[in-house]
Amino acid sequence: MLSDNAKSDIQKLMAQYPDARSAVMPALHLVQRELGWLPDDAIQAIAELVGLSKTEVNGVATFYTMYARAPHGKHTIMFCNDLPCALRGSEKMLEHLEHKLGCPAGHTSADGAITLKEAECLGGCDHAPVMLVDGVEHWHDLTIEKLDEIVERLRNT
Amino acid sequence: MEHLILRDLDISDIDRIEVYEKHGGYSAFRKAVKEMAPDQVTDAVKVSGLRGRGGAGFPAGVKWSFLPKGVFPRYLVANADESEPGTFKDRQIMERNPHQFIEGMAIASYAIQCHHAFIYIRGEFPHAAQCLERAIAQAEARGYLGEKILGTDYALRITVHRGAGAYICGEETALLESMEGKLGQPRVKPPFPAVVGLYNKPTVINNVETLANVPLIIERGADWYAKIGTAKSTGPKIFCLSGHVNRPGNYEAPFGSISLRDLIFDLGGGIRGGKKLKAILPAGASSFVINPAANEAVLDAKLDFESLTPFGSALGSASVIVMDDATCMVWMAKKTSHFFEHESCGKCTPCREGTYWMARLLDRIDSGAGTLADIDLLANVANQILGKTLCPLGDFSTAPVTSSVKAFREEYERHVKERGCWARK
Ligand SMILES: Cc1cc2nc3c(=O)[nH]c(=O)nc-3n(C[C@H](O)[C@H](O)[C@H](O)COP(=O)(O)O)c2cc1C
Ligand code: SF4
Ligand code: FES
Repeated sequence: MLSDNAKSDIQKLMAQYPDARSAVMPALHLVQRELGWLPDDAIQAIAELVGLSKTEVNGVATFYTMYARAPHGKHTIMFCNDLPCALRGSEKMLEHLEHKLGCPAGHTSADGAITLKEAECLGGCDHAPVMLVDGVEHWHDLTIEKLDEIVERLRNT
Repeated sequence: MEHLILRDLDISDIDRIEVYEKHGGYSAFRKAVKEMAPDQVTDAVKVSGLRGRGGAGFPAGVKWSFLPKGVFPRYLVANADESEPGTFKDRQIMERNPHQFIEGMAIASYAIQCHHAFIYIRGEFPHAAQCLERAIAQAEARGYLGEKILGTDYALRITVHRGAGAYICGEETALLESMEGKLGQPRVKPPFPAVVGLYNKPTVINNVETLANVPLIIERGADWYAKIGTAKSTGPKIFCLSGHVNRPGNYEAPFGSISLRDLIFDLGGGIRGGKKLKAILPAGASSFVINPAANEAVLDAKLDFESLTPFGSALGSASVIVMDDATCMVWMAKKTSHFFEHESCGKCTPCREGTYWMARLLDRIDSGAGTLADIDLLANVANQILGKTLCPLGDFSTAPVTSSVKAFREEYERHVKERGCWARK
């Protein structure tokens, strides 16, 4: 299930902590980066490596919002719609995005390209509205035009 | 005036270690490990009056001195979870002036004799995490981190630990649980982390901005530092300004030197689109809302940890969210309630159920289906939460609700009478 690379990287992570258990969150991040989401057997493999039960690892993977326990679109947009962003137009923009993708927040567009999630404050309210793409790419000072461009690009990559 | 924390605004490439060093960087840490005993460092921080910037304002030096004698190992964990809506100061420090924060961590670690320190950074800050990794690698290469630091016997490593999306992990004991690979749910206190912390060892937890102040105290002296700000709130503070202002952003000013009026109308360039100021949340979503029309004096109080208390509010993490006169206060409370409902960790019933019911009642009133009794019920539900929960999140969730019902009651009643929000019809 996990690549040998992933396994050895997780072992390195475990060595960074006084207690190997602390490596569970970084391990989940790492595997999600590799597979795109966290299937059951990945949870099992991480549990065995880190020395926890599958239930414990599953608990962690479901508690935190950035982990995906189900397959999703090729790309994920976390669109901030918290108060400071909403004061600067995020609600209308989110509606536009839902319309454009043809699915409500929490779902994936029919072509499978983009999963849309509504996010709480992403810590960039000085440049609201803000979104995070694929957990790594921050976009701020969003406008409808900018949003359209990014969506087009994501659909084609 | 010279920036003391947001130094990137004066020196744009201060994120590079050689530039940071050229401007005095790491000389404070050098002085601490070479010339001072650990307790002397803690004493200097006590004398400086430095108080925690994470929201509660607890004196940092006092916290460090709580660690039980002779119990090792001990840990320092920097709280970089920064998830309070309207807060984005730690991110700027980590991305643009990371060495001052790392140096502060190194000094704090030396003071408490910790050899392995951690940064718990929220998962949604991938770029800041990279900036920190790079800064740590540079500091290692220069001999500020690692074994035998600067020719002494002191050793220190710093590990960056990424969260994965959970506001509650900013609460210090939930953060420790999360660091240990568990669900981010708060622990019962006492015991406090100073005694039973990370891996059950004595642990100090400080906010990023708090730690970034520490090099200043050692380099320029505790007495120099204590003269900045007011007698009880010393030093510089970063104010995060967001919402309906012309120039949102981080603004640094000594405690007690600027008022909300200065911040919003002078630094922030006033209200957008020629509208008027209506309401302010000074501490993010966890605020008691301020209605300046009720008492204009609130706009002129010079900001420090205590100065908003007489006006029924508090500065907290200084995440100032500004709203213009077209903003609906029921909608505002609905937004914060949905936030807390989503972020409640579910461990205690009053918070889990209470945040759910507040959000439903506010949905109902906002949509026009509410009754006058719902407004009282809302206050009632808030009272069922207040003071009955394990961690402060429960209380936080009630602050914008109870304060907005109190300050803007006629607006709630109008939603009931006119069957919904006239402002957004
Ligand atoms: C629900 C909740 C969320 C919190 N979030 C943060 C946070 O994101 N960052 C932070 O530094 N402190 C946060 N705190 C405060 C911490 O528990 C703790 O007091 C602080 O990190 C101590 O550091 P300081 O003394 O340097 O401020 C939060 C507290 C609560 C109850
Ligand atoms: S008050 Fe809320 S967030 Fe805090 S422990 Fe209880 S349920 Fe969790
Ligand atoms: S509210 Fe959107 S980034 Fe803070």
